[in-house]
Amino acid sequence: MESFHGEFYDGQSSRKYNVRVTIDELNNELNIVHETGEEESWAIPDIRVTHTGDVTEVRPHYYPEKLLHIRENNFRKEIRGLLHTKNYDGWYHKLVYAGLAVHILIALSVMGIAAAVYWWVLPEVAEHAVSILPEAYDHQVGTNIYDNMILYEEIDSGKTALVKSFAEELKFNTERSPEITVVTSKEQNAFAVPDGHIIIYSALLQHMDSYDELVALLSHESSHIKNRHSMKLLCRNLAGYLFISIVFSDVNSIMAILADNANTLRSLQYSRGFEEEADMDGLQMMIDNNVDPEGMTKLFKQLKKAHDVSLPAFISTHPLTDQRIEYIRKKIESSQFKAGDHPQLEKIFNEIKK
Amino acid sequence: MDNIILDPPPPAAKPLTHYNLNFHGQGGKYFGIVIINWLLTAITLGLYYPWAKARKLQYLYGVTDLNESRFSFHGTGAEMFKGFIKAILIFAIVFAGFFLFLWLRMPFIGILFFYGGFLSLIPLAIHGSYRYRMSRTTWRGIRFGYRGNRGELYKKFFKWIFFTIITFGIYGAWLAMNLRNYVLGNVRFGNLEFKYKGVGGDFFWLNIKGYFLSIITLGIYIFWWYKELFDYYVNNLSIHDGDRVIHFNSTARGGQIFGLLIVNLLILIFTLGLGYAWIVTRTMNYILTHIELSGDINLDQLSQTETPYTDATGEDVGDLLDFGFVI
Repeated sequence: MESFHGEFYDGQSSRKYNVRVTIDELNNELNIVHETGEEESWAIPDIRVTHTGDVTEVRPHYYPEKLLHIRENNFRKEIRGLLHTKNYDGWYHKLVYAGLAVHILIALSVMGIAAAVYWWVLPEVAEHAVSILPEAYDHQVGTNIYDNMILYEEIDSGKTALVKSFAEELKFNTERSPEITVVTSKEQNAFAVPDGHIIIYSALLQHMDSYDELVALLSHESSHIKNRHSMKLLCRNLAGYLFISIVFSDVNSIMAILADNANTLRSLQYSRGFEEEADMDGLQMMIDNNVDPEGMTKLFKQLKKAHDVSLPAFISTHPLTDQRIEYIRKKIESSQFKAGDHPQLEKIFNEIKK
Repeated sequence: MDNIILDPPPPAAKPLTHYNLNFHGQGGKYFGIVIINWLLTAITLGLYYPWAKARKLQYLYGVTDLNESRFSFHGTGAEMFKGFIKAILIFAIVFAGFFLFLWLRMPFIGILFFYGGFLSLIPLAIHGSYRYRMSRTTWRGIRFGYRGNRGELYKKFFKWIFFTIITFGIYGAWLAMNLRNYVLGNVRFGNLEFKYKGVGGDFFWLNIKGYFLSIITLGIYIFWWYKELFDYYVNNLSIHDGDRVIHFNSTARGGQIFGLLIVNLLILIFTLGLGYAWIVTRTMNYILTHIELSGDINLDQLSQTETPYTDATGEDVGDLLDFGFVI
């Protein structure tokens, strides 16, 4: 049996002892003979072996302060072979010693799988989560948002009442008619809150030319409420954020930042998707009410004038106005509808404009 | 020449020994560990984190050597996982208390409880992580140890925090040095004792100077500021055994730190973050090869004095609070 020279530390002091080490394959143990003639043996299943530089380090796992350094290549080969055949080496070491190419491959696969899950699985899961959440939750969250938003706004109660009576003339695609509030503002904007509130800024009403634009606005916003877009966006963003922090947080900051930005772009893409859906559902609602869907086109042309900043589509929350006008035109062309007269809507609209 | 023999011998001049501190880590090897950690952490939705951390520390300690003997980290994923669970429970209690006070409509007390709770976790994390990390670190089988007293650290820490608050943060420099003096002063390496002698005033002016010169030079001076900080951390550190001593001496240069950090940045950018492993090994290598140790302690005669300690709660609280290990 070949014996090797080893440096032995006894776990009591940092003094180095010279020992002879033999591997006893029959009894599956490591025998250590001290210069004093004393002997001890460590069972192979109890030892931990690490190779660093030219040193093979062996220690019993139950007392890791005792250790053996062996600087002979043959020992390294033999003990590795033994651990290998007896399978004490473990899957972890196989992975770690697999080499740079394998590691790069693993890194790229993790990134690829993470991207695929993120792209295709997460949105489904998040949407499913929304369908499980009771709508009462939307209302609770929405009421909170509404109360906070309205706190600093000046409500135009006269116009609010008029737009409400305007809305009562319409058949909505939601279970309940939306609650409408008009606030005084120079900004041309409007939005839907998850609890069914639609907030309209007065300047937007001022710039409308005909009643069908107001119908278009109300049908667009109520479609957001019907489809629970705010909740879906919230759940998707939350799921995306959680996923990214699990996959990337422990790696390093630059990857986390890249992933975060990708998440933001993805979220904007969702948001644009929801806007398009609201446009389409809104158009359908206009058609169901026998209102000329061209009102939607007119509304967007007006909004385009008001917000004349052209951001590239991929960093925008809304689709580009020209794109919207184009797909609305296609939808109108492919639909069968009959625009009727709506003297009552027209009358109320003229009062609003006063 | 007989009289020379008759003269009393001169006081034994202690021979000055130089000790070698080396780092053998390789970016490629460390990359493998980081990537496998990443794979397993992602698959287990983060639960592998304590094991991943153990693997990283085991590698980095194992490739660092002092006088041709490697350091070892014996901490295990299981120990740190237990600590992780306890740390999460502690955080849950702080949050639960906060919400309880909110529910009782006492928001002011709630916020006080919340910040107080987090503040009081800091000494716990420092004490716990030092006790754990030191006792799980060995060199030639000799354990490191931490002999600080938790109650004492709490008292001192809150006193320093109080001074820092009433001086609008100026006392922060003294806090940092007092803390370092206390914590490192309680580190043991077998029968050897660490000592750090930082002075709050010096540290304060070093940072004021660094800050303003960095602004004036449009950021260029920042690398020399780092060098001065590194010098201050290293040169004030020493190891003692009675009247015998090992001195630490920094040989870092501002220009070298500039080169190191710029190349690190380029690696990070051009590998989209995948080159992180090389950044760690490059930085560790620079740090360890720019610390010189010399003195008159015989490192072959250390004795085992520190007891093992396996509770990693403090270590994990520190991770959750997200502050790095000081040493």
